[in-house]
Amino acid sequence: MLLKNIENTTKFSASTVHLDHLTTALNCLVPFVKTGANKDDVLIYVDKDGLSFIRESNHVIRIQLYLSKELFLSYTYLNGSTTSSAIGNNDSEEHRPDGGEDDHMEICVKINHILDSINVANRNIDDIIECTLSYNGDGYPFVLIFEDSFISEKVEYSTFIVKDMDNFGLILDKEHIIFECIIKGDVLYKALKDLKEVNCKECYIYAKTSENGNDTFAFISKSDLGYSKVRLPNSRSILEKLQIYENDSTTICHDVPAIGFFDFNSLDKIRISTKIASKVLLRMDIHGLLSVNILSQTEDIVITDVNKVDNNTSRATNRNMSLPKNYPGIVIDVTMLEKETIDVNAQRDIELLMETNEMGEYIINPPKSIKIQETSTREKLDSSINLLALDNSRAIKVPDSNPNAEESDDDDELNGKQYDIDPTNNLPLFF
Amino acid sequence: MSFKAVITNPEKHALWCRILYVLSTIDEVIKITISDKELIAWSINSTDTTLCQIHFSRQFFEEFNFEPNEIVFGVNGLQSKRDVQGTDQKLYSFQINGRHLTTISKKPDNDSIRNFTIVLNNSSSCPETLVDRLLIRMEMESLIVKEYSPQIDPIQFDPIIIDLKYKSRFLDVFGTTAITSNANSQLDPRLLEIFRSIQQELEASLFNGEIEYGIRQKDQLTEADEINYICCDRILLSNILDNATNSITELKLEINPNKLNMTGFTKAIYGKDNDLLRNAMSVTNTINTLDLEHSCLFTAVSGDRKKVQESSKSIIFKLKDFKSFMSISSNSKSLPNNADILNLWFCRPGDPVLFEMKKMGVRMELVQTTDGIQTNNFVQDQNIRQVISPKKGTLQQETKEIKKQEYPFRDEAPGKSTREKRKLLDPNVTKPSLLHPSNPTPKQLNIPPKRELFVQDISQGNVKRTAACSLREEVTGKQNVKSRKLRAMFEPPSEYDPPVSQNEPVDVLRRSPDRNMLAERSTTTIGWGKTDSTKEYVNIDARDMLKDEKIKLLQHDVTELKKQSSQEGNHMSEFGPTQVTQPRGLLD
Repeated sequence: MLLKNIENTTKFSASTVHLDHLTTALNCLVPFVKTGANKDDVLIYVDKDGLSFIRESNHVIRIQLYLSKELFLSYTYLNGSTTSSAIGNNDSEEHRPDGGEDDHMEICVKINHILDSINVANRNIDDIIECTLSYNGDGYPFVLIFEDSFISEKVEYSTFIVKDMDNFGLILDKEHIIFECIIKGDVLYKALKDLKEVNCKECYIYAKTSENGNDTFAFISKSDLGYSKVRLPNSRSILEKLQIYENDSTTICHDVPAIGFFDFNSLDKIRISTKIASKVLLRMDIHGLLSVNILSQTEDIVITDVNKVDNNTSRATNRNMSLPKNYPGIVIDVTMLEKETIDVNAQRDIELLMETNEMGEYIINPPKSIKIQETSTREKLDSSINLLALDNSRAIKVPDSNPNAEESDDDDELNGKQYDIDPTNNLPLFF
Repeated sequence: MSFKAVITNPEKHALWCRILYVLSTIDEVIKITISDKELIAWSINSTDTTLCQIHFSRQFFEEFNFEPNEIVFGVNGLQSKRDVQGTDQKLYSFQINGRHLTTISKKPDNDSIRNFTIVLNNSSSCPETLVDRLLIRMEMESLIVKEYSPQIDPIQFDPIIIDLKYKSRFLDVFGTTAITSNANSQLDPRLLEIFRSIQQELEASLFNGEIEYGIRQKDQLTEADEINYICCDRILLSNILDNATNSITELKLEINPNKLNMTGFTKAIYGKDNDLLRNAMSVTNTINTLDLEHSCLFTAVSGDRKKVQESSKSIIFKLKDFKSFMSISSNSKSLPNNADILNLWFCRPGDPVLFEMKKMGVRMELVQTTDGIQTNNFVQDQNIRQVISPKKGTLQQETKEIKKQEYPFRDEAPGKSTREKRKLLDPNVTKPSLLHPSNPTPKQLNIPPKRELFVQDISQGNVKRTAACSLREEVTGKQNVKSRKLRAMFEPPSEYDPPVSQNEPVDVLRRSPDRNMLAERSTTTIGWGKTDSTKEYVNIDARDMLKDEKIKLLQHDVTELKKQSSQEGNHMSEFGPTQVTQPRGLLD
């Protein structure tokens, strides 16, 4: 009854019973809200396909976390002339060439408050709790309603003025990618954890391929200990793809290392996200921007709060709630800027370091020859269109907080009207 | 490559990590010395009161290469020592931040280590960036490969050879050469084995040249030669650690030929206006020395037969480092040979105590200074002698024989009865006269069988007691005449009563026979008649349904006595180490 009312009167409402999953997802945001101005503020971007949580701190790092509407039992989005609902939703219906401001809603909230509420509500382990999120446009509070068999709880959160998020410089230059890498999430998580344990301060990402398939993908930590190397396994089952390009996203070159240099505090923010990740796509462009796309599988969600793991796994089985079949999982997109462009000397040091073996001796290398392989744009596109080789390769649109920046992005692709030159520009490629 | 060591066994790696952790708790710098035979890791704390030294033998590692001749960088870590065969052995030493080393050696959660490699490359093939760096490489089960290169600082190894000194002194005093062949035959073969292995260790050590053998007159032990040795299962000592809460800061070991008292305690702290800031606390474990593997006590035996003192050795040291040292080998699976044997050497209070454990080819040593408050002065004692624990296998027989000789002279029973006895001896205590009438002798005679539960060995000897007297006197006469070697007899621990009392040493000292004061209650009752423990009174009460007034009075007296003795009886560890700081037993 209550739900009906909300659906009828509010512009946006969505309800779910997967509070664990919601908590897991929102926890990934927590490292990003710890620094920067307006500490807890997170922008929720709502459109007809789902929710995006966006946070940018200090103009150097930005996270966008997407929850598809399939997660929700019911999903209603009504804004202005545009109408969309979970039932009978039609993708092509709403496309407007101008990218339409009406296409989405932006809500600015304190994420910690919402997390706290969900955690509190989630403590009731005997019952299934249905959580409804709703918002009625500017000036209204953001509302959470928790309902179990007996109690209905309504929580209102103040919303704040949405400031324009300036994404300049935080968008991957897809035409000038220098390396691209797909790796299993758990391995990346272990590596980041190791780096954290040795108190890493600055971190180099080192990638090098060779023709014989002996690829190297490693993190090099610079800390009190001096340089430490964490080499990730290069077996194909783990390092699914590693490619170095010659600045243009198309020319593959071997035996030339690609090196990125990051403040570890930034890199470490994605650690929680990688913990739930199945696969991670790392790309870095020539401007020193690293883009990390993280896809979590819906099956083996690990609750990020360590203390609650046991609790929650048992609970999940008790309740016998599996996530909806067509739900693609949490999709996280992080972009971060390099700490500084490394100079020639630093680059040489790193190369030398990576070329010493465990005995502290140089590996005798054959003279470096840069072999360039030309691949046609088309070919590459084909190979990468299903980068993660998931069965469930359907397109999912990820809304961008700055619609102006990607005006032509959204539906063109789906309609087959236009392809970007670089096929990896959209998250849908994950699937 | 100048040095390479590989660990693949997870258990060994775990041990390596625990050891490094313990070393890093002692000091922030861990010092490492590599020789052809072993890798020595050690650290000494900033106040020079604790030293932990771990010898990883070559065999501990799956692979161990040391090529000192290739070292061209960091040469100030190079040293050369001449070994027994006269060949030069090269050493390379450096120091490294302990916390770092611990962190990077640690096994991560949810993953295990497939291969752990330590490399030092200061040879000419070393790239500039890796000079003076220890390369640690870990291959994980998850296929992740981690390589760390912490900085090292080459140093000269200046060995602290307290362990070697103690061991050589130990051999000197107790070892096979120091004891007549006659006595030797009675020694436990396992103890002889220990002597042999220590001997070998000393000979093999590169640093034994620095041991100063004190110029000592043959056949003449002096106070300076004191060394005591205890060998026991690690569990015995770790039990007291388990009992001790975190607030307990110090540990006192007190051993006499009959028993070992381990007391963990903490002193009270008072603030202004006598506010109690911290409560005093103590917990004591007492075990029979028969439960020890071996014990060798260095003691001066003496005493007037009528004034007998319980002789004990005691040391007090800080618990913290000892606790972490003991934690090295905790929770490990049972391992063959010596896995859980703890060796312990100590001298006088104030001198360092040395602990040693061996495990999986690793020899772990902890040296801690002890409190020097108590003075265990033997003074000009000529009757210094060694007490060595009996051969385990043949214990029963030997003890019987010895008991024949010594039984009659045991003056004190363990526990409360001793204390009371001492009180009785004490002129200050006026009560004893009351006690005497109250204890009817027949009842005492009844008591021994019940007491057998507590002290079995002695009870066996009871029967032959009377016959033994004459024998004993013979023996003592011989002993006085004979040289030191003869005096260094092998005797079961229960026989000896080394003089505990430091204060009245000289008069007591001359009489070697009287050292057998500790013993069973049965003997005690005979020697000292009616003054025995409260237990006797309890027995009386139980049996005599008709108690007379006298007995009640007596009980009252006894309790009073107890109170007094608890205040005054510094010897008895039961009364709390908090009082130990007081000068020892004037009454004694």
